[in-house]
This record gives sequence, structure tokens and C-alpha cells, in this order.
Amino acid sequence: MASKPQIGIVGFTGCAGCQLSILDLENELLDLLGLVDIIDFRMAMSGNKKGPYDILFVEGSIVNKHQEEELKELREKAKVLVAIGSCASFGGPQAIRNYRDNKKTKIAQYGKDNIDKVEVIKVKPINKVVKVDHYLLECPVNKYEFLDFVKYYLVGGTPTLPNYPVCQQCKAKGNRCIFLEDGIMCMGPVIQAGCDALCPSYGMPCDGCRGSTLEAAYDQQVQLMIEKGASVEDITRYILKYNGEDKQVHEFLMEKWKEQDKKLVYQED
Amino acid sequence: MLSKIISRQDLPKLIDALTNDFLVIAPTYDKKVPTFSEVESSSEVEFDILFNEKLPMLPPKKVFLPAKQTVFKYNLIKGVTDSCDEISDAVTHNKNVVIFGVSPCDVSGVGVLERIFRDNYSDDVFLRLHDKTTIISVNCLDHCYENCFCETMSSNDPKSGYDVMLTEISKSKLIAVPNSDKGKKILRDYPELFSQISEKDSEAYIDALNLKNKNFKTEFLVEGLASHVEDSFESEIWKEFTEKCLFCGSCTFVCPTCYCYTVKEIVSVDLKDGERQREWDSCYFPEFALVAGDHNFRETKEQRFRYRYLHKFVDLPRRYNFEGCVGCGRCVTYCPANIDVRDVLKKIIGVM
Ligand code: SF4
Ligand code: SF4
Ligand code: SF4
Ligand code: SF4
Repeated sequence: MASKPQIGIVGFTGCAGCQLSILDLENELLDLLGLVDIIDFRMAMSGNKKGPYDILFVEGSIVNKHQEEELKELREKAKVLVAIGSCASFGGPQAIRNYRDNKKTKIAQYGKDNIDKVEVIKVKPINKVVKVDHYLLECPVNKYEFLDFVKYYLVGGTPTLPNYPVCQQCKAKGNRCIFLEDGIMCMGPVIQAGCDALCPSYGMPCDGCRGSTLEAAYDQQVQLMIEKGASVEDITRYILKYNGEDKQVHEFLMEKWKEQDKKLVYQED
Repeated sequence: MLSKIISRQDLPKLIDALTNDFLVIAPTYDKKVPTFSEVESSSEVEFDILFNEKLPMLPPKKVFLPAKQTVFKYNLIKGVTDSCDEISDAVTHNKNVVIFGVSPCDVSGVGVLERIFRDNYSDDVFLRLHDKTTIISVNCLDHCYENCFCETMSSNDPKSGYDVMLTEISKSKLIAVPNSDKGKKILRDYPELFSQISEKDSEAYIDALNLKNKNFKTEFLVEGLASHVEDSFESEIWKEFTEKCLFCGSCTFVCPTCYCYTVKEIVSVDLKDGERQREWDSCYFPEFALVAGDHNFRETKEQRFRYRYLHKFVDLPRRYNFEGCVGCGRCVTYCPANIDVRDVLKKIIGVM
């Protein structure tokens, strides 16, 4: 057998939860180490090597020039680059700031006197900086999808993610629809499945951490939320929670929802 | 007489007796959702659901075609290690199955699935599970709730597809009418629970059937529906509903006759073992009609919305002589966007 694939797992701006999730693969970790060499995983080990990588998994979003440069360098050393989790894929919660007045946000964060001292650019998912070959979703990343990706890579393919809404898995589990029956603002109809409808299975609304499903029906979803009594501000918050830089979310907000929520300002680069 | 009488208070005893010999599936509540699930004793069964007129959210198809199902397992060296039959037997712990409390419309729904899964090619997993199942139906004497339109879809008086039909002939008594060898065997095997029919019982049964006949009403004419739907191919009606629909697929999953699934391979970490799984899919999803070469037969949402109706009300009737809808109303009850299949059809026919 050819030498084992060299794998790196690195993090930028995020909570490091994705990396922790991978470590949490307790039952599978040893088998995994039989198949691949993990050469760079700063969260878990020492003696890390900076590439070259057969697969590099990247967590977190990019928030300053320094990170941009570092990510570009990493990309050059990686054959396959995979975004993991909401931040790397869609900007994550911090991308909310992209829709607010940058100066005001900075004052709130760092104080009036310091705003020129810290360099913060727009929050970017990693595909705004480098080419991304694959996405693994969820907040934190779904560890089984991570494992699947490695397995597929080894047999020479890439797994397809489910391209249908959370409602599929919610119905499959026989859950009560809390959106329909309890008026809880569940985003499941517009969000990509794959988590096994985790939140609705515990009576909690889907917050959208896996990003938009293919051809997500935001117009219809928002219409129903309004009918159920959500305010304009609430709706903006629900939609923006994880996915500010998701293409469909961005388009919906700036092309349609802006008429309702006048406070939305998108900072261009 | 082959038919027998069972008293209502003996129904729990019947369930308990059945659990000794079968894997019994009956209506229960799971986190406030009426559902069919495996029960170990009659105390778990919600007779409420049966007699207070609620349909379990997921129809009995969940037994034969569950949301996710392994169809066979294989190994790199040994080939197939677990066949379709072995898998289905393991699912039921090598027991035969009884589904208790299936409504007449759901009996019709199972019939639709069975015909489709047996007809062109035989689907071994489905049929193995189906053929080892005895269906005990509980008759409806009136519309069970506001979304039911079974009479319109002629599904509330199935002639086959059930093994025993229980019909209430008074507050305390039900008549058990067997409809197959499996059904006759049930009545024979638990003699202490079934008694002979008296003349009065026979009369009460006729009365019950007359009452049923009187209570059920059709909402619109299904005669000619296929051509109405086909003629409305370019209609604006599809657009009107497409604009409301979330394309969440809920209507297809709760539907007793929607049977589409997708297939995937699950491989072990050491890459030596694998299994083929199938999982519910929906024609409302964008990639459903996507084929090799990136061609999508139904690229727009409107085409997808329309297709469900074309399949149910044009293709299936023409091929099998039945609609792909039994009028259970589940898709109406569980649609987050309040889309009502009856409204769509009435608009198509031009009566709304
Ligand atoms: S609870 Fe949410 S995810 Fe589940 S079916 Fe309802 S809308 Fe969809
Ligand atoms: S239900 Fe929604 S928020 Fe919860 S884990 Fe799944 S995608 Fe994320
Ligand atoms: S349940 Fe309703 S909203 Fe969801 S796909 Fe069906 S018709 Fe559309
Ligand atoms: S289409 Fe709707 S009413 Fe007809 S059988 Fe399916 S779920 Fe029931």
C-alpha cells in the first residue's frame, strides 16, 4: 500500500469546537490513525509539521490580513482543502458584523480610542480567500461527516452531503413539527439536513447551523414566520445567526429583506 | 359464520395475547405525536387514537419502508453477507408481525405500495416484511377528522389488503371479520377472546355499515380527474401553490402512498465491510430528478410541485387503475405552509 495520506487540521477564528468534535471521535480515532497520518493538529498534539498535506481541514473564518496570508500559504501546501463547520463555510456567528456599521461595531468591541489600532477586515468564510474543494457542515462540524470524508478520500471519491432540508430527517424521526404546531421559529425548512434533525428532536428550533439547503425557500419561510408573529428584527437575527456569508442568505437579505429591515448595511470590502 | 364478536374491553387482552406470538405494532404517542410503534403490552397502546379519531402521523408504510433501511450488507472478500431476506428477518427478530389498528384508508395505502413494489420487479425487503405481516384494521364509521377525504378517493372500503376488520357495532362490541387465511387464523388461535355472532349482532353490523355509508360524503368528483390534471399542465394554478410551498417534503413523508427513496453505500472505517441503505427521498427536492451529465428533468420548483400531482393523479391511475392518494389528509395536516391537496385538485377541476 502506498504511504498513508498526510492530514492537517488547523483553525482560524472560531471557537475551536470543530477540532474538539474531531477529537471526540473516541471509538473511531484509533482506526482512523491506522489509515492516515495526522501531521498537523495543534490543538491535540506537539511536533506539528507545516505540510505538505494530502488533506487539510480548516476551521474558522478569516478576520484579518495576517490570517489571509497564512491561509493562502497553507493552500499551496495542500492537495485537497476542506472547510469544516459554519465559520469556515459561511462565516459563522461573527459574520453578523458584516451587516452592521463597521465603525460602531469596532467602538463597541474595542472602545473609541482603540479603533485604529486593531485591524479587522470583513469576516470571510475561507472560500473568499482560497479555493475550497469540499465543505463539511454543522456547528461544530459533524464528526461522522468528517470520518466519511476521510473514508471516501481513501477509496477515491467524495461523499455527497444530503441536499434536502432538516424537515426530512425530522419527519423520518417522527418528531412533532414545532414550527407548525407550536409556532416555534424553526428554520428547518430552509436548512440543509445531515444533523439528524438534532435540535427539533429535543423540542428546540433549528437555528440553521448547517447553512441553506439547495434552492432554499426563504421568501416562504419568512412569510410564515411573520404570520406566526416574528418581528422584523427577530427574523433578521434568525437568518443571520450562522450564515451571513452563505450565498442564498446574502442574496435574500440584500435583495429582498432589506426593504423590511432598513438597518441592514452590508460592508463591501 | 367465520366472523366473530370481540368485546371492546377484551381488546387489550387480544393485544397481550398477540404479543406472545408476534411482534406487535400499534398506535401509541411518542412525545405527543400519534404514531405506530412496537409495543410489548397493551398498556402501551393508545386506544384513544383509534376511537377518538386521530391518524398516526406516519402511516404503516414506516413498517415496510422505514425512513432509513439497510437492504443488504457485504464484505470485500465474502461478497454479500446479509441478504435482503436475512435483514428483514432480523428487523422483526425472526417473528411475524401484527399491525393493529390500521384505518381503512391506510389499508388502501398499503395496498397501493404493495402493488407497486410487487408489480414491475419485486422488492425483496419490502415484500418480505409485508408478507409476514398481519393487518388488523379498525373500521371508520365517519370521517375521522376535518382533513379526511377518503370517500372522495374511494379508499374507506378496501376489499383486500387487511386480514381482520374490526367494526364497532355498539359501544361495547366489535365484529371481527376475517379477510384472509392469516385473519382466520387469528380468530381461531385466540378462541377465548372471540364469541359467536348472534342474529342481533348481524343486524347491528348491517346498521353500522349503513351508518358508515350515510356519514361519508364526497367532496369533489374524481371521475375524469386524470385528464383534468393533464390538461392543466400549463395552468397558472401550479405557480400559485409553488409560491406558497417551502419544498420541505413533509407532505411526501407522511403520505401513505409516497414511496420514493434514494440509495447510498455506508462503508466501515477499515474499508472492508459495507452496507447498502435506502432512505426516503422526495420529488420536491431539487436533486431528485438529477441524472448523470448534470441533467435535471425538473429544474424548476413549479415543475416539481406539479409532478407530485401528475404522478398521483395521472400516471398511477393509468398504470394501475388507482390514484396515488387515499384521502387521509396527512399532507394537509402536516404541511407547514397550509397547502391543501383538495384545494389544488378543486382548482384544477374548476370547482373552487
Ligand atoms: S420542526 Fe422544524 S425541522 Fe422539524 S419538520 Fe417542523 S419545520 Fe421542519
Ligand atoms: S437542527 Fe439546525 S441548528 Fe440544530 S444542529 Fe441541525 S442544522 Fe444545526
Ligand atoms: S409539506 Fe407543504 S410546504 Fe412542505 S413540500 Fe409539501 S406542500 Fe410544500
Ligand atoms: S396525498 Fe395527502 S391525502 Fe393523499 S394519501 Fe397522500 S398524504 Fe393522504
